[in-house]
Amino acid sequence: RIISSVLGAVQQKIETKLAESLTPVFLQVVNESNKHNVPVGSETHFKVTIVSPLFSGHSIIEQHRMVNEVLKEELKNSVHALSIQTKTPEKWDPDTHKPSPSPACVRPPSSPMRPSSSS
Amino acid sequence: KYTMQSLRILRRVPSCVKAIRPAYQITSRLNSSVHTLPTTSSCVTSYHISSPITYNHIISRGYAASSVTVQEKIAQAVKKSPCVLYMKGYPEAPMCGFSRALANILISEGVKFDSYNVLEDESIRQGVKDYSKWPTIPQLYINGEFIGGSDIALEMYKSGELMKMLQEAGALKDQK
Repeated sequence: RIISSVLGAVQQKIETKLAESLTPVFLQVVNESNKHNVPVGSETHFKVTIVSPLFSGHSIIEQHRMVNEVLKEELKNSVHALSIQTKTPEKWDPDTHKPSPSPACVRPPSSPMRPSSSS
Repeated sequence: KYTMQSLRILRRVPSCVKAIRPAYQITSRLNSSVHTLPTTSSCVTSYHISSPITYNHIISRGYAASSVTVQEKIAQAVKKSPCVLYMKGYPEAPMCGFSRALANILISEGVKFDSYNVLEDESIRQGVKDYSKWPTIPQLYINGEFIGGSDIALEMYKSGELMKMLQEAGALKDQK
């Protein structure tokens, strides 16, 4: 089951690449750029929750490295921050799962029409 | 006794972080000297943290100018202390929410650690990413081994694994 919020071009690419490379049973990609001090409409901060059988037998850092490897072009270019939560299907309970909230930005946007400054 | 350089570093704090009344002394290591900075100085912005200070912030500028490569410097740095944190900003004044989250875990548990502000030196900011082959900051090292960023550290903290690793590394405040 794939859940998407705002479908910007970078977000679409992230979802497509992760779906193709890691064959997840659950994938959620959230653009969290609006919580940070970046221009409106940015695609710089993402949170990825992904459940994949390919993670079985791998440590948590290895699982995160697998995600980083799939998204290495995006991380080299436009993506500034990537929060990752990985799980194997055995440890995944879709009924009780609640994604942990990402830490608040040190300099959150002060108004809806914030100036174009980078974080 | 303190130097103007260390005072200058402390003055470079984000203006949006609210200064609360001074409550502790800040110790920073500049080269091999240890400077204790008075909190009542009028030119130092101080922050209140309830836990005793157990970390050293290392002034890390000028790596690129050294004859030793950045990778070698980082390799030495991560082994100098049982727990080392590369972050954006300082433990008492983080400049990134993820760095703040990880630093706060360490501070609240009284972990003894060295911190490096990657924003002080672009060669370190990229160098540490190349060293660990990890694309983001913050980065936590225990006994010279890269552990992960804030997501991994938080998950390990919740499971108890992080504190166990830190205890085995001798990084907790009551350990020698």
